[in-house]
Amino acid sequence: MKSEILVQCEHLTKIFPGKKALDDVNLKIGRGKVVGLLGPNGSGKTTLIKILNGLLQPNFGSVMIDATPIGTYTKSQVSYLPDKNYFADWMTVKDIFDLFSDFYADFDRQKALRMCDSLGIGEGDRIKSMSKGTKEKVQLILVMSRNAQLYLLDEPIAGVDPAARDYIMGTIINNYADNATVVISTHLIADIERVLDEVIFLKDGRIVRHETVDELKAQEGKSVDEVFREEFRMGEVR
Amino acid sequence: MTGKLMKYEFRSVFKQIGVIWAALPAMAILASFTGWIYARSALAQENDQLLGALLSRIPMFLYVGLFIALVVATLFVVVMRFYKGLLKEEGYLMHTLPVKEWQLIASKGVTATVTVLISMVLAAVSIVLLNLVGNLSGILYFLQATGETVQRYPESLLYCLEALLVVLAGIMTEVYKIYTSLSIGQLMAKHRMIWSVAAYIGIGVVLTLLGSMLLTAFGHPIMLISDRIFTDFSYRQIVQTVLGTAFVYFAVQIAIFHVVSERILSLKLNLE
Amino acid sequence: MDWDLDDSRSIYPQLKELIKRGIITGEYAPGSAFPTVRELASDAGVNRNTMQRAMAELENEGLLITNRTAGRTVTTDLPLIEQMRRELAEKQVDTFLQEMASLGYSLQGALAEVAARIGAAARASSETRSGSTVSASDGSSADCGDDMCHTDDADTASTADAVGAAEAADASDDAEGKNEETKGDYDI
Repeated sequence: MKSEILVQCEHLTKIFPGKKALDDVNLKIGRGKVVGLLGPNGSGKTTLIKILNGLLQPNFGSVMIDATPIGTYTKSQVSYLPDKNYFADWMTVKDIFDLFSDFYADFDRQKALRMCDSLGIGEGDRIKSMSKGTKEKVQLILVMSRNAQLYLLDEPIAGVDPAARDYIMGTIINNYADNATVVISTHLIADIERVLDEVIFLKDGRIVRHETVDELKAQEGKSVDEVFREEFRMGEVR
Repeated sequence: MTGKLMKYEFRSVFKQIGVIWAALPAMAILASFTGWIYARSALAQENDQLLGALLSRIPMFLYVGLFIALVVATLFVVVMRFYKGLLKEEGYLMHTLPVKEWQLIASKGVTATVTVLISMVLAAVSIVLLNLVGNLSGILYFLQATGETVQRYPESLLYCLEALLVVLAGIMTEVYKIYTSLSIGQLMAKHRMIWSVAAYIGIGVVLTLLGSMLLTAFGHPIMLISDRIFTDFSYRQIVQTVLGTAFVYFAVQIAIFHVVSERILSLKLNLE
Repeated sequence: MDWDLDDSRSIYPQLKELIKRGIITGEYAPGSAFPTVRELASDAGVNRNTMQRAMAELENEGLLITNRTAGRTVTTDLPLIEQMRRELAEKQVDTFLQEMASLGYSLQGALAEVAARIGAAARASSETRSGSTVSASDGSSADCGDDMCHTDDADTASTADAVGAAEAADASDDAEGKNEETKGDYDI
């Protein structure tokens, strides 16, 4: 732990052919917070997360996690849950546990085992034979069984049934390391707003709001979901 | 870290191709056996030759099929471990591990090279095994003769080792050429596989052009030098020089391909 | 525990109230071990810091006690719990009276309405009970099982009648327009 501010972005810009995905983003995120990265599809949420975990390089600007530029150190401190399944088909649950143990010093294998047990998933189970929902849960368990400084969860509950949603949100709340920060990117605000300390509204690659949930409610007298709908209203329906 | 990556690479490769590696020599022995039986029985009786011939030839057909499968599977594994492992969904895991890009590339490159080598060795061994049954004495004699030669000329072992290194370097050059093509294809937004194939062809063309340009530019000095080598140098020195030059030729290519791939994946990675 | 939360308002005061109810109803029994912040936040589906804040304030109010080794426990201070129960009940009454006032009832009218509803409920339950005693045909109160029920019915019925009379008197006042000042106007 090197600094008080966990994530710092300055003038962060990412341009794809034909689109400015992130436009001069300036951002500071502290420790011990659950932050919602909220915006409609295409607003730049996934781009920002990919830059934070090193999957994309920005065109301009700088990013620091724990006062360090993105690199092998930051990757070792970040636990990332993408919105797709990233395990090789041939692997068993044990293989994946081995992999995480090998590369991440902060991986709590016992915890991951316990959580898989409670879902009836055994170490010998093959990824190939799992349903989509089970694969997602295994991935979530692995990500949350790490004692990381920063958790980046990209759309953890999109396309998931309500019962599984409760399980996922409960798992997230229950398992992140003390004083760690969790960034959840989503467009399903109503389901997660109670879990958030802070919200960041992202619109066309720009930050249009960044405040605590209580500040927002005090200012607007509405739920985050309602404020979001107003902010991103698309136009008249009739 | 690179070692750990290679561990997973080998396991993945083994799961995909291990079956063929085991089956090929086994099928060779079987084909050899049935061929030998057929030969002896045909000598004994003249009738019913057609059915016997067919039955005894089945393992041979299977062997040929397996051989082709080995070639295809080896190429497939080399390409796919890189493509699927680094440029598709698995990339989300690989590129977020706390390792450097060059480690990801090198671990796959080394594993792929060894995989190709194993496939080549097994192919050669299986061909020998085809003639095993009934010719055991011949093979043993051959092995004995080899042992004697090595004893008499110990440096021949060294040359063999060096030759092996050159072969490995040659394999690795091809592997890295594939990796570079795939990385270049990754730069494009759509139709990445098609661009990769184009890049592969393009690289081949560029290398050939470069080669012929160098040859025409430095053709005269090269001829002079090689004349010198082949007349003045001893046999031993010639072998060393040739092997050494080949090794350098491959090593330079590997270095260039590695750097290009590493730069592309570090700076221009864009998964999905 | 059914965590029924209104997202348009700050969450932690709502959590406090729900936990208080849990203590009153005995779901979190006095002296029993109380879940950790993590567990309860996860159960309620809320942010840990929010739950932490709610629990910290409940500690300040004496409802939760932190033991250094054993974690948190619910208080055993029964009078305190009783006082909390009264406070919540008072809040309910205040809310009710405000609602009634906004519907145009005076305080008396609201009270009369309460009595009437209680009377009606009592009569309904005594009817179903007396229905069963009639079928027993000996007219005893045995089927009721308890002497109290008849007495209660009598009490509530007479209260209802008494208040009904007051209401009738009030209604005649209304007719003379004297209620204008108290209508829609509630003031403790």
